[in-house]
Amino acid sequence: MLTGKEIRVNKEGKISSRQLSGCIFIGLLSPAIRLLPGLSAQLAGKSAWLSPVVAAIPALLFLLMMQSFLKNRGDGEGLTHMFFRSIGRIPGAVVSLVFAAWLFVYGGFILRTASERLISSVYENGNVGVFAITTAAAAALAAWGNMKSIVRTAEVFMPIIGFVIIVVLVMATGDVKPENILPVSVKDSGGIMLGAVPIINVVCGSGYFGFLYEYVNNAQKPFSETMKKMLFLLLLIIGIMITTIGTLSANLAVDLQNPFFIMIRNIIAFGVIERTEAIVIGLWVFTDFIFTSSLIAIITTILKTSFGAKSRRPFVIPAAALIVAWAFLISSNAFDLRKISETIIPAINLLFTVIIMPVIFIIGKARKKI
Amino acid sequence: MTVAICIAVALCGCSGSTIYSNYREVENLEVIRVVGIDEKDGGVTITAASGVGLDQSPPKIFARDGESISFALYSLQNNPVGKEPYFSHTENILIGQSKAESGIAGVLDYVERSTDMRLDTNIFVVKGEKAQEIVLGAAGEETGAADMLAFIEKDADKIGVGHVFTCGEVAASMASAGNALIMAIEPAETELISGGGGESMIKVSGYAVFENDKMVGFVDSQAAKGATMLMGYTKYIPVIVDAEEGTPVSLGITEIKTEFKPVYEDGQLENVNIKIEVMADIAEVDDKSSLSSEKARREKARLVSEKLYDNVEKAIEQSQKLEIDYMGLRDKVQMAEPEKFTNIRSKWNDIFKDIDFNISISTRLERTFDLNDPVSVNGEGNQSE
Repeated sequence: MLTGKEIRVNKEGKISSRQLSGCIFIGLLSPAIRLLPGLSAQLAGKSAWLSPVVAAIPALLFLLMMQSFLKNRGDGEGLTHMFFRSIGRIPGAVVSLVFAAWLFVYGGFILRTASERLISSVYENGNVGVFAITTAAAAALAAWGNMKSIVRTAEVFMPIIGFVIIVVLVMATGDVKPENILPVSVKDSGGIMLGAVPIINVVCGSGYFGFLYEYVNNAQKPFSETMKKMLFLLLLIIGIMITTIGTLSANLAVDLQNPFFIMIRNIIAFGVIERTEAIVIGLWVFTDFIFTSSLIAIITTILKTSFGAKSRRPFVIPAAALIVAWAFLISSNAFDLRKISETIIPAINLLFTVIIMPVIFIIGKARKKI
Repeated sequence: MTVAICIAVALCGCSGSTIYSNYREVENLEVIRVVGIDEKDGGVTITAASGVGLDQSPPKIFARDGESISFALYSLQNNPVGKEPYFSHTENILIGQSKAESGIAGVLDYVERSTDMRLDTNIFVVKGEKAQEIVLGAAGEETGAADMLAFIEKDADKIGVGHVFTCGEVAASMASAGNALIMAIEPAETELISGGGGESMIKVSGYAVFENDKMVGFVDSQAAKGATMLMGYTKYIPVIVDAEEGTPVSLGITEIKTEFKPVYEDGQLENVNIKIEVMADIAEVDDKSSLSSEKARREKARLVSEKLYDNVEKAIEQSQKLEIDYMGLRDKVQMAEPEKFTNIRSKWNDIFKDIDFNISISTRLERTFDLNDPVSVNGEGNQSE
């Protein structure tokens, strides 16, 4: 005999917390590589490589909050259901839909930046629209299928991407000039803390994946695996900062669109191995693909649960289309795109993740509903 | 998911049928290895040279004028020159002296922005000449500028004549310090004793000094050796000193450790002590020089130190005369005592030109290879002291 909770079990089948954490890692790697070296160098200068250490504390607190938020969820329940419980069914649905509305814009932004990056680094005379539509089509196809497909793809690519980045970082270490990252004094602490803000913004993006816990096996502790992956991500970010700023200098890194990519283009290992950027560009496309398909899955999950639909599948194509529309609307050129990627987008992201989510969490806890 | 991955793979260029393919037939390409840039009536002249062909054909050299680098290169690619010039493998950029004097910001900007060129491309200034002249002069039946510059890149550090800087290093230095060094080169003739005459070649001629983006002077060859040492790029220097009775002793410097010790009084930088430790090997001696004696070895080491001292002193002297800290001594002084340096950081340029640098060099002989004392030629063998 089925109980109420069991009826809510999603037909898509369960994924594990570990699989989802891999998806989160791959997804967040894309903005981490694109945004952080330049923006953190701008805020923290040569000491930016210490910002991930500072960011680790608020990031850990955020992940602990997410863990506590989802700890008492029922089978087939995700963050949308916890919103319902915390602030009531209707307000919870409204807030969830506001999240979905933002994720449409954010998805469009991710799609546009991924396309712009391909043009600025490889396809000089390419068309943004073609790249955006192709990526969205691939992501929509992935999101149309079972959640297991997306997370397993991420699971397969995570060790490959992690390995390639580590190899690239090791190869780049020889070009690091100590004077580009040292000395660091107490007077740099303000800059280091400022530099931590965009890192916190990236890591807290993991909060959006809370909506996908509807598909995660209830027996597993939420976000515990994600904490390990985020720790690994922070270590990678430290490595990325040290090699990028150490090679190019903070002043030059600030001027470049994709300093990490430029640094990779300059790597020559043992005097013979060079032009490794082709591998990185190829894998970078996969991180964008995983992130975009995950965002479509998150949006459609919110819509399905908020509207009480049986399946999220009817929402997939319209969601992908809307994301593509936002990719075109979000800015008219690469200058504006860079500006909003450093200001408006992180600000709104932080508003949703470190303000709205905790407020709902506190209300839910106060009302003893979660 | 399979379909999705196929689309993603096609997008990232792994498929031959991708929408935006960069695929080109290799036999239709002329792989450019050297790009010379000269000033021409407010615009530039670009000289692009390939290397020696796989079929031993001589290097191909093309030239175009343009209002800017990108326009000149565009003109080169769009007006047939036999094959399509392919700039993704450009290894060296040569800047003519007049272009260097008028500014290289545009050159660095182009390289940083280009999807073809890379920031690790070597950059040189052609002393007293146009870049085109040195490229044309170096081109022979079996060699060209690309081969000669490849030799310089490989061996400049090893023989201590200087360091080949890349566009990235120059851009980073200009962005953080407002100045930079670029290796200077000039044409020369080889003293070929076979074949009836000399051949054109390229030789290193110190460094060109840039303030902001304009060349403001040169560092001569001797000072360049000292500057290369202070910047930490020297890997090997051959040194010859006169030992006992004026007989020459050849040594190879194998390792150099430099330590900067700023001396502060009441928060003000009084002077900077530069302590240099040198490790050297004996390369060649004649029969009059003793190596068994500690005293004799110390004497040879002292002479090496004296010789290197002159190079370092001249490097600092020229830098202070130009009032440009092109060796990045600021960073080295700062690294020694970061907290104290913070107070004088903004005044460094004023302080630098007058500050005393006290140089002390100590040399240690490490080995004499398989021969202890010079080869015995008097029929009685060497006697150890």
